[in-house]
Amino acid sequence: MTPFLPLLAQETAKLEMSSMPDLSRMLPGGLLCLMVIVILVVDLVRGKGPSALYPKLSMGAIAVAFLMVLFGTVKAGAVGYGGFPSLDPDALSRIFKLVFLATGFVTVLFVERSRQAFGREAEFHVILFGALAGMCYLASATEMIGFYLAFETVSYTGFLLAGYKADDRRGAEAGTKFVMFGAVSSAVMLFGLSLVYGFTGSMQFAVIAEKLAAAGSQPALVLAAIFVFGGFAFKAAAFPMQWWCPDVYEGSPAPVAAFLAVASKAAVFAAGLRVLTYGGVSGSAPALSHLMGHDSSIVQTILICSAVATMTWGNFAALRQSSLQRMLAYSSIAHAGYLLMTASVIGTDKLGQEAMAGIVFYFLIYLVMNLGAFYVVTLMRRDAGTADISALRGMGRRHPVLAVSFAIMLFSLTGLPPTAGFVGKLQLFWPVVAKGYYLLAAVGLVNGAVSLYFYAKPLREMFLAAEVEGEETRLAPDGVDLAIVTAFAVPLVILGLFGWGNVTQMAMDAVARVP
Amino acid sequence: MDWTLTLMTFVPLAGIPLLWASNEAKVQRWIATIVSAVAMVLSFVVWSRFQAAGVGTALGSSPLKVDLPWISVGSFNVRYTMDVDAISVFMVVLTGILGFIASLSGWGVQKNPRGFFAMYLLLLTGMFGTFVAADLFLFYVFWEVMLLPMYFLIGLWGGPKREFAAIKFFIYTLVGSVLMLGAFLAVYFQLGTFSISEIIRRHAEIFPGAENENLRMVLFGALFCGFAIKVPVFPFHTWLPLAHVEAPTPISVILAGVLLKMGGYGMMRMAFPWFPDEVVRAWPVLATLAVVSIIYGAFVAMAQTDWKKLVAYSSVSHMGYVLLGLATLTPEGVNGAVLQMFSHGLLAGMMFLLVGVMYDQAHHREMARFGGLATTLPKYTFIAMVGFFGSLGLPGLSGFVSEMMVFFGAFKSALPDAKLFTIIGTLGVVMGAVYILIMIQKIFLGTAKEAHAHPLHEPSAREWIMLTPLAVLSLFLGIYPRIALDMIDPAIQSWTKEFTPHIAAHAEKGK
Repeated sequence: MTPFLPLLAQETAKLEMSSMPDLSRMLPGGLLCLMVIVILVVDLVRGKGPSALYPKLSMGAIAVAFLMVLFGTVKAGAVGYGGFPSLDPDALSRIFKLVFLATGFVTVLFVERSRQAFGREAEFHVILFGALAGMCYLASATEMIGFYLAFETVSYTGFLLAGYKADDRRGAEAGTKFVMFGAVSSAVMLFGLSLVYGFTGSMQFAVIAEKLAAAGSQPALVLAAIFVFGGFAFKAAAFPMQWWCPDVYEGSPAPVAAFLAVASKAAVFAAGLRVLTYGGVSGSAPALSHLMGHDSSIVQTILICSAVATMTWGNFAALRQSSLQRMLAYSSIAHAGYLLMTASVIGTDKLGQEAMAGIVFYFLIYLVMNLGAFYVVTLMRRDAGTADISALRGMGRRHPVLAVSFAIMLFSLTGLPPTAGFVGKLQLFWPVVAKGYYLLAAVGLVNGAVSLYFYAKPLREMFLAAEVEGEETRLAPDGVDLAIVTAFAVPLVILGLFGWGNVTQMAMDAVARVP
Repeated sequence: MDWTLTLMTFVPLAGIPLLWASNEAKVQRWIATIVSAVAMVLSFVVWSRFQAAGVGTALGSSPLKVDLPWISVGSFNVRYTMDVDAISVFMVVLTGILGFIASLSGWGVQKNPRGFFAMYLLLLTGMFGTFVAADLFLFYVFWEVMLLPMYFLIGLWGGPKREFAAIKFFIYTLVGSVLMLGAFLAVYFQLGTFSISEIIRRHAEIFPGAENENLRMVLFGALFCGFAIKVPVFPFHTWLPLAHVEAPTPISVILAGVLLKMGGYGMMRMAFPWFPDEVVRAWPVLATLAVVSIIYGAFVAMAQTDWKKLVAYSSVSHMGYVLLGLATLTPEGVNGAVLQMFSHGLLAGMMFLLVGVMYDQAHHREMARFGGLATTLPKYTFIAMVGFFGSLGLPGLSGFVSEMMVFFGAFKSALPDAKLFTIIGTLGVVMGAVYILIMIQKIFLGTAKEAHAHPLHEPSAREWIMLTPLAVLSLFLGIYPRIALDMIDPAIQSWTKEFTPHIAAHAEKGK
């Protein structure tokens, strides 16, 4: 315990932090935390009963936070209180914050549209804001304590959201499973982090990076790398920690599943990218040599093995699903596999940067296509009371706009041109091929072909399967629903054909600001 | 900058909204047919303009070329490049003709004709685009764009097992395309360009050196498998009989007439010229697959009782000739292969139409239940004989010329055991005669086996308009193949020349 305080003092001196932190850099997390309190207070004042106020309040606040991030200037460089720099609100964290906030906004919208009585409404919004704040901090955390706190904030709020409908048996089961797995994995990760701390004597990623670079390969660090990865894998729903995912996504309300599948996954990848590449102020240290151990091949091996297992498991397990919500859960596992595959080649060289940009780009696309698909699930559960794929039968004829929009999302998830999913996949596979990992790329590509089989199932129900008399689809989308699905589908085609250059540039600008 | 190719490609796409101009099925049919006719005329314009520029014009230098920046970011430099050489022009003309004829055949579609024609026109755009794209990214986009309408055309308007046929077709083709995409990315990584003509020119830079020998072979294998699924070559053919049989007649025509040709086209354009040395090394495998396709396809065709299935398996056999011809790497063989692609497009399209004409009347395709059509329907029998004898390889029709050229080329080829493969391959001709003659005997000769609810009648005027041009073209090419050969030969001469040093080097090593 003794070296902790002197080291802290050393680092404080070294990084020459100003005594007063620049509070503007703490946005939008501050606003999100404030909202937690505001909603609680409003709830106290108002008393019980459902209210249309909360969704409006939430969407308004998230929109404001979104605009603040979008138009705020990026000031890279770690900041923190008391000379303990813990956050780096750089361009990379900025783009991920936009992803979280957009997903949060859409989640509230979906909850509103699901017309599902959640009960204890105010609390739902409180938890959501807690989750968003945690994600925003996680995306910019630069030292272990802040990182771990943010990580756990995201986890706990996730548990609560997943089990929110405690009166629903499956919801309760989902929440419980999530907590069990979460507790184990976070213990494992904490142990890994403690090994790293014990080895380097520092909490700062930047300092750890330098120390590890000097340390060379050590068995203890291999262990640490595996344990830390375990924690990440849990949140990313990657092999071998993916078991909770299908049950939780299926048991949760559809909007919550959407939130977990997109925002939660983006948060853990944001943190992962930083851990893998945060080279401190100098930025001179090579990538993949930092928190997880000097010998980058260890980290790489872990990532590649997990990527292959994750995508294969996700895709093949998805083949047998008949519930759309569960199928999307497996599909999101498979997508985590593709992302991990590309994560194995990130670095500070040009190709490594492109790989990072590919991951960021993919999240921007994934946000649109996956949320859109989950909206269809929301509609199914609202109108038909089931997420079974057969509930879509005959949609092509009865609700062609909805059916075609959903088809575009499915094509995009498969990665077929001319949708954005294709260019996304292209940017995930390109660095892997360019790095010379042909076998890995081949496994990924074949997986992409397999995925078509289950993505085509809803297509078949919507367009091909004959309707049974008296069993017409019970989905009854109104104008707003159609506007929402169209708003998700149209950008996928436009981005797939014309806009992807600009979005890629955006992603590249974002990763370029990682020191 | 010349917009003819762009116009031709996107005219069908632009025609789709027009289908909503009227709720009358009749008007929609006319709209689709007129749009297809315009596209066909434009394909002739492309042909004549290319002729005027000189038939030897290589890809990347024709006056029809369009080359615009599309997306340029990071490592990606995607261009909107369209261009043609003699081989693509040949395929474009085939697409134009069959596209028009199949649109006429689509008049028979009763269920939701608007949806059918919308999908059909989208398919047409995809096909034209695939043949004129000169940028890999663009090529891949068009290649995949064909998949979606095809899935729905088979799955919605097909026969009883349409759903399974559609998904099987979709998955097989997608596996092929991802293999292709992997190889494209690897090549792009080496050369930094998506331009097809530039890659052909700089093919020696693709993973050079002896240490990369295996890698090159894997990449060639991936490309070859990607295209072989489309051709289809044994053992990748299992999607074909199902898809052909379940698809509605116009789509069978397009599938057999145009889509199968994309496999051969892709091999000529990408797999072979990018990896010339690997082609020579893989020759025994390629020739074996080709010969097995020829013989196996013929045997299976012989065993069919369903008329359409017989025609479908005959395609497997006939496309085997294309692969054999290409793999010989001799000008005769490759000329024969390209001519066979065109000829098979005409004849297979025609055979599917002929089956379709009878199926529409009899509502079944069991050969054993027909009989004696020669006496009851003499006119239909006459035109059918042109199609079926053409497919059998009767001298005077296009199939004969192309098959003979393939065998000449194969026999002449300097590659090891070429003569052995040729001799085995020629057995396919005999077996082709067997299954066609058995079929003719069952359906056209003898006496009628059963009375049909409605007496069978001769083809309608619309059906004559579909069948006659194909018969005339086949006859014309059979008698005067020079008109086609003069056009494609210069391109093929320079194409095969690239392989000569590799063949020589390989022979040297063998000694």
